[in-house]
Formats: sequence, C-alpha cells, structure tokens
Amino acid sequence: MTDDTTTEDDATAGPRNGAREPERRADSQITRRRALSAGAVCLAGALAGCASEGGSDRPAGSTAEGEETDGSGTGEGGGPTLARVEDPPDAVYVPTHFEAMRHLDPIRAGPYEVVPMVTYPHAFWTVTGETVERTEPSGAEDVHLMVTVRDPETKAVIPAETGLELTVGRESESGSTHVPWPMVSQEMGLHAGDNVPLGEDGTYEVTVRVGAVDARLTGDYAGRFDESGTGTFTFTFDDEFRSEVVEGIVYVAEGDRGRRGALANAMARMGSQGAEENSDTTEEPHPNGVERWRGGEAGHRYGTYERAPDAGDLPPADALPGTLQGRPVTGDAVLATTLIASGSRFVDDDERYLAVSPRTPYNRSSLPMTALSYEQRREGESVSSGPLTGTLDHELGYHYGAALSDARTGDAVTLTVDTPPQAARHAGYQTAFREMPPVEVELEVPE
Amino acid sequence: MTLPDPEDRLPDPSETPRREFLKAAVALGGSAGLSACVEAPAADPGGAADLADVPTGDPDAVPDRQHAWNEALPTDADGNVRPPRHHVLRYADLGFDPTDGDERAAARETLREALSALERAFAWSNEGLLFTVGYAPAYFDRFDASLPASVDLPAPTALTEMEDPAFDEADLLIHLASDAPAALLSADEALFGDAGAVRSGDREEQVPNLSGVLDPVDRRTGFVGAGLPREHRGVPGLPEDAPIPEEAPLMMGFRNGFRASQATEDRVTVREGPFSGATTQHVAALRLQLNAWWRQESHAQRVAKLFSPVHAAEERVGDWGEKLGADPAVADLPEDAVAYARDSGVVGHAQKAARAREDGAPLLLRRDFDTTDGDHAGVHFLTNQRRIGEFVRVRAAMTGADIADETAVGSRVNNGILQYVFVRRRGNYLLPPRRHRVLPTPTPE
Ligand code: HEM
Repeated sequence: MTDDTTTEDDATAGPRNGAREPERRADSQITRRRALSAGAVCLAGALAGCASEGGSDRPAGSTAEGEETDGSGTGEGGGPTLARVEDPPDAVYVPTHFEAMRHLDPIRAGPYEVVPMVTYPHAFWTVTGETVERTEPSGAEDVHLMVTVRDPETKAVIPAETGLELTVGRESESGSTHVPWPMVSQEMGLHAGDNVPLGEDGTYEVTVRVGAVDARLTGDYAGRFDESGTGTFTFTFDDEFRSEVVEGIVYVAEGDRGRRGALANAMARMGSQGAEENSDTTEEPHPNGVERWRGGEAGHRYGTYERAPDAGDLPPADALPGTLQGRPVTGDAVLATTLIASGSRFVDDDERYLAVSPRTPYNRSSLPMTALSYEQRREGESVSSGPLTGTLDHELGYHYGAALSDARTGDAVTLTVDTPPQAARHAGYQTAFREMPPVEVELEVPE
Repeated sequence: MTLPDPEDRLPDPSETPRREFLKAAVALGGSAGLSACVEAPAADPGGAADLADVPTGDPDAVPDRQHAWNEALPTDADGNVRPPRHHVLRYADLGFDPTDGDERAAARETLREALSALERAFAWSNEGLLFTVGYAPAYFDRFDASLPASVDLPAPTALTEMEDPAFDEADLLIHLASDAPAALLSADEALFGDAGAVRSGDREEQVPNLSGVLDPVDRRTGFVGAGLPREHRGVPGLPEDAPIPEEAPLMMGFRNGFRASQATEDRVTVREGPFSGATTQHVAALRLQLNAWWRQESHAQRVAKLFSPVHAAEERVGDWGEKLGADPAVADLPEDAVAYARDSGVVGHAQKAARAREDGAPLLLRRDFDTTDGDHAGVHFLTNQRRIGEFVRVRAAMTGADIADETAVGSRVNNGILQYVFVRRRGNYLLPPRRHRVLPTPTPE
C-alpha cells in the first residue's frame, strides 16, 4: 500500500485553549464567520492549513513553529494548538482528541431511519483499492456532514454501503448533490460523511436519498431494505453552531495519544440503545494482543473498552449465532467467524453456513466494502473455496458468508482479504486494516 | 425554461475574457445574447466572431444522415474527432394538429423551408452550423400507425436504481452546434425568436417564422473544448480552484471521445426499413458534483476511476489524456471485471462501459457536452446508437451492479465516476434520415 502521510497523526489544531481556558474562549467568540475561520476555526484552519498533519504536504515546522508536537503550545490568533501523534502504529490507535458535533433529530427515509450529524470540516483518509490518501478540507468547505442509517424498529445501524446521496442547499432551493463517503470513525462507528461547501450563514436543507442496501438481505431484513427512500432535515449554520462544535473538542491526555486502543464510541455517552456506557469487564488481553487499559478526559473515555453487547453495529463475537470458530486478527481487524448448523435460512437445507464478521477492535464497528474469500482444506487437500458474499442479517449483522456442504471438525479454513475495507477512515483508523495477510481457523463442527 | 433578465446574466464584456463572454451569450440566447455575441470584440480562437466571417452553405453538400458530422468536423493531432464547441438544445411541442392533413402539410412546408434556409446560410461544419432534428416517442404516438420494427424507440425510463429522473416528452428536439456562437445564436433566433432571417458571409436568408408550427418547451445549452471548463469554475458543483488543465475539454479534467472508444457513424445507423439512414438519440441531463473529485481525490485516483486502476498504476493517461493517442485501450483489460475488481477494489468508468462492446466494437457514438444550465455544473449526455436498447445495455455495464454486488466496490463509491454524476432527466429521439426529417409519419413513404 502506498501512503506517505501516515507517519504522523491528526494534528487537527484543536482550539484547545478555546475549549479549556476561559480567557481564551473570549478570543474565540468571534462574531463574524470569516473571522472565525481565520481564528478559532483554524477550525477550518486547523482544518486547512494547520491541520495538515501529513508531514509531506507541509513545510517542516511551518505550523508547529516553536511548539512541542504534543499540543501544549498555542497557535496563531490565540486559537488552535497543534497536537499530533508521531509515528502511529500500523494498528488502531488513540488519536489526539474527541470531536464535537451537533446531533440532529433522526428522520425517516422510506424504510430507513437516518441520524444526521454536523460538525466542522476535518481531515480524513479515503481508500482506493490499496491506496490510502489523506484528504484535507480545502478551506472552501463549511461543514462536515454525516449520516448514519439505521433500522427504525431496532435502531441497529445498517452497516452496509447504502448508496447514499445528500442534496444540500438553502431552504427551498434546489441544492447540490453529494455522495458522502462511507466512513469509519472510532466515535461514530460506520457512517457516511463529507466536507461540504455551503455559503452564507443560514438554514440549510438536506435531502437524503438512501439507495438499496448493497448486500444480500436475509432474515427480517429480506425484502425490507431493498428499495430506496428519501427524507429531509434542516440545520442552522451560524456562529453558535461553529462555537459549539469547536469548543466541544476534548483532548486526550498527552501520554495516551498514539497508544493502541480507541476512543469509546459516542453511543457510550449518548446512552441510546439502552447502553449507558461501554463495558470493560475483562482483563484478558484483546485478541490482537493489546493489554487492557483505560483512560478518560472530561467524561469521554478511551482505551480498550469493549462496547456493551447490545450497543453497536455488530454483536460481540461470542454472541453471534452458531458456533464461534475463532476471532483471528489481521491488520488489527477482528474476523469473528461462526458456523451455523444446517437447516438455517442462509443456505440450502443440508448445508452449513460459514459467516465471517470483520469488525474494528474495541468498538466493534462494521467494516463494509471488503472483499473476502475462503478456502477449506482437509489433510492438505482443498475441499472447497470461493468468495464470501456480503450479507445483511438481523441477527448476524453485516457479514460475509458462504455455504459449506461438507464441513468436519479439524478442517482448516483460510480467510483471505482480497480487498481491504474501502470505507474512508477518521484519525486512529487510517493505519489499520491495510496490510491484511490471510488468517486461518480450525473448524469445530458440533454434532 | 425562464430566461433571466439579460442584465443578470451577461458579464461585463470589457472585464471578461472573450471566450467566457461568448459562452455566457450562448447560454443567455435570444436577441440579447445574439447581439452581445456579434458585438463582442476580438476573435474567439474556436470560431468566427462575426457573422460576416462564417462560411455559407450548400444544401446539396449536406449528407443524408443527419448524424453524419464526423466528416464535417476537424480532428486533433491523434486523429480523434473534435466536437463543436458550443451547443443549444431546443425542445418543442407541435403547435398544430398533425393528424389534420392540411395543417400538417402547411407546417411541413414551413419547417422544411426554415431548415433549408439554415443549410444555405451556414456551411455544414463546425465553422458554420451542424444540426439535427429528432422526434420523441410521444410524437409518433400521435399517429394511429406505429413505428416499424426496424426502429427501436421506447419512451424513456429510469435506467438504474440510483436515479429518479424526469422525462423529456416534448415532441421534438433540435440540436444546434457550432464553434461560432454567432452562427449558433443566429440560427436559434431565426427558428425560435423573431429574427426572420439569418445572415452569414455576404448572404442573408429569410427564415419563415415557426410559431404555430413549434411551441418552445425548453432551451438548454452547453460547451465542450479546451479552455472552456476552466472558465466555469466557481459555478456550484465545480470548485473555483479546480486544477483543470487548460487543454482539457471536460470539467472532469480529461478528454474523451477517443476514436477507438467511439462507435462509427455506420454502427449507429438504422440499416433497414423506411427510416434506413436514421439513428436513435438518447439525451440525459446529468448533474456533476466535483467538489470531492477535485479537492479530495488525487490525480491517480481520478485516472483510476475514469479509465482504470491499471491506467493509474502505469501512468498511461498523462495530465488530461494526451498520452492516449486515439485509443485509451480500456477494452484489453481483464475480461472478468468482477474478479479484477475483487483484486483492485476500484473500477474505472471507461473500463466498465467497454464491457458492453459487441465483437470488440463500441455501440455508442457519444456527443456529450458540459453545461452550467440551472446554474450548476452538469453534462448533457447525448449519444447516438442504432437502437435505444443498446444504450440501455451500455448504461447497465457502466452502472456495474454486478461488480458492486460481488466486490468491495460500492454502488457509487470507487465505482467509476458514479460518485460524481447524477441523472436528472432522460429523453429518447429518432433522428430520421434527412429525407424524412420534417415531421414524418411513423411510416414515411
Ligand atoms: C460526466 C460524465 C462522463 C464523463 C466525464 C465520461 C468520460 C469518459 C471518458 C474520459 C472515457 C474514455 C474513453 C473515451 O471517451 O474515448 C469514456 C468512455 C466511455 N463512456 Fe463515458 N463519461 C461520462 C458519462 C458516460 C455515460 C453517462 C455513459 C453512458 C453509458 C458513458 C459511456 C461511455 C462509453 C460507452 C465509453 C467507451 C467505452 C469503450 O471504450 O468501449 N459515459 N467516458
């Protein structure tokens, strides 16, 4: 893979001072928007110029002038402070800060529920095949617009690529259509988002079109999510919004930035889905070998917390239906693998169903837009092989599956990642899920 | 379509590069656009500035196929046909009852005379005027008889799950194209305004007024050619700072229409029946949103998505397609696009579309051009093909639903240019051969 920009972490010049030091907050209460973009939002500034954490596209020292790289100094205009992680591991790691965002009321779009969120434009990484490229806000974009698509009945995130379109414009004007990038972030899980130009302050209207789910649909989902739906929400773009999302940024303790682990998912704070907080009952190392640890700042938690079983995009590995075959780790993604007995809804009567559910460590977010294949071997001879098909099921969640007509205990199954997850990445995920060598599980087939 | 107040639309000619000013004049149209265009100083490199410099025409030199444009157009250094730079699409309904023999005869006489006046006034070339007259399925539905089986002209429908288009159902579509905005606008004004005549060189041709024959429904405009897309940066959908190469004819920053990827005029011609010599035309109004294209993707990503990942890895394309000669070689990529995409995670637009070739030959003759109609970046995606069904097939190949289903490629993301292109309208037409181009019945003699 090529990526020359990932040796350093997100230097998003968070207005740390604005957020934490009252005397500076006064400075960042700028009443005119363009002024804001120059100062506090070096937000945007953090975004555009300063946030260029990628070492290669910024002259050395130009933004971090005279500062520690740990973010303790102040940037120009009394606003942003730079903070970045040098040399992040090739794995999921704790970035420098929690983003703040405005959560809007969920709306219906045909058979789907859409949860909109808006924040300041920020950097993220796109994935094109093997190439991971950092993308900076250009300075012309005004917000980072995000939506999560859910099942309106269960509130479960529909973790597949849904062919989303967001048509954004001033109220009652026709607007301009953007296809948001499917994206994973530690705080948001799988969502779709993009940096979007708006224009003047005011009320904006967004029409969301959710296309058909790009997956085979099984169980309660069969026939439910195979058509498109449209819905509309509005949000206000003004100083209050900008201050809110900038001042809400919370920084991670310096010593914890860049450690293997993750920011706890925002659901842990929101208390939705009946889960008040992430659970952290186990002291065993994570399957990826990381020792358990916990940190927190201003009510935000990070470390190796596991999400509560009923929260999140996907069930925990040991709560998957069928017999858990293992949770091999590749590229720091966990490929939870289960075998479902014959007679299931997934395959013909006498076949068993092999289901592989790739997820992020700790937060258990779905990793769609991955191509996986398998080979089953017995005593060195190939028994069966082929692609695993992307499937969305109400119990298994989003997974990749294949029928096995002849499975015996002791068979070796090799799982190969043909294409690593193509969802774009927020900071902390961009160095993970890239080099993903094949992994193996040994089948355990109950009588 | 409502025309805005000219004052609102035309930039100050003294402060605007001439090319840009002329484009604004074409978009504006009407007598205001025409006079602005004729009076504008200095010459556009693309076409005659003054009607006096536009070459006059000879109806006997105009070919029988309305779509026979290639011979009349220049080629670039690699032998690719270079399309006219400025375009107007005029949608119109009949202003009379075509089943009433007398009304129809009178209308035919008027339209025939108007079209021949254009042919006499303007050379059949990019320097003069190229035009076609197309008829929608809705037009033929007005008659009791139906079209012969040799013509495949269904009503337009949505062609993918990703679109909810409106349909163009006006009776007829006149497409006018030229490098010379003055010629284009003068023809447009004569047909649909009240100019009453067209002028070119030292000639003046009277053009009968078409009111009563055609009721205008919509007017759309566009442009394609080196330098033109850059001038429209800043319109919604096309970022102000988009680094479009000066040579690129398209807003997406590359050239298209390579000879080896285009159908020949023969291939798109109806061979049999009373309409032999005709072609079908599909016109889609597409919107473009190129913010992420220009601000978030790298050149290599753009090449991978427009051509193929192989083109990106091997740097086959150059800055705007200059390295491709007359053949982008998108058809010699692995045949099994699904297997290819499982490996690469991304597929190119041209690579996908080329899967629909027949015996190695492309089915579509694409004559698309960019637009800022509706004050938004877009494309009038105009193609000719023998049968509309062929367009439908190629469009399905471009959608690549099979690829999205079986690989990591998304329905839009990493799937060619589908992340950037949105279908708003579709319309289908028959371009009869010239001998039947004036208000034909479904079964012309
Ligand atoms: C924004 C719109 C589009 C752009 C910028 C675009 C651009 C291109 C480019 C650069 C090529 C490379 C080769 C060449 O043109 O000679 C190409 C090929 C092609 N495109 Fe498009 N295209 C667009 C929309 C479409 C649409 C809507 C279709 C509909 C089916 C289409 C069908 C094709 C076909 C058939 C080829 C040739 C494939 C072959 O070599 O057989 N394009 N396009």
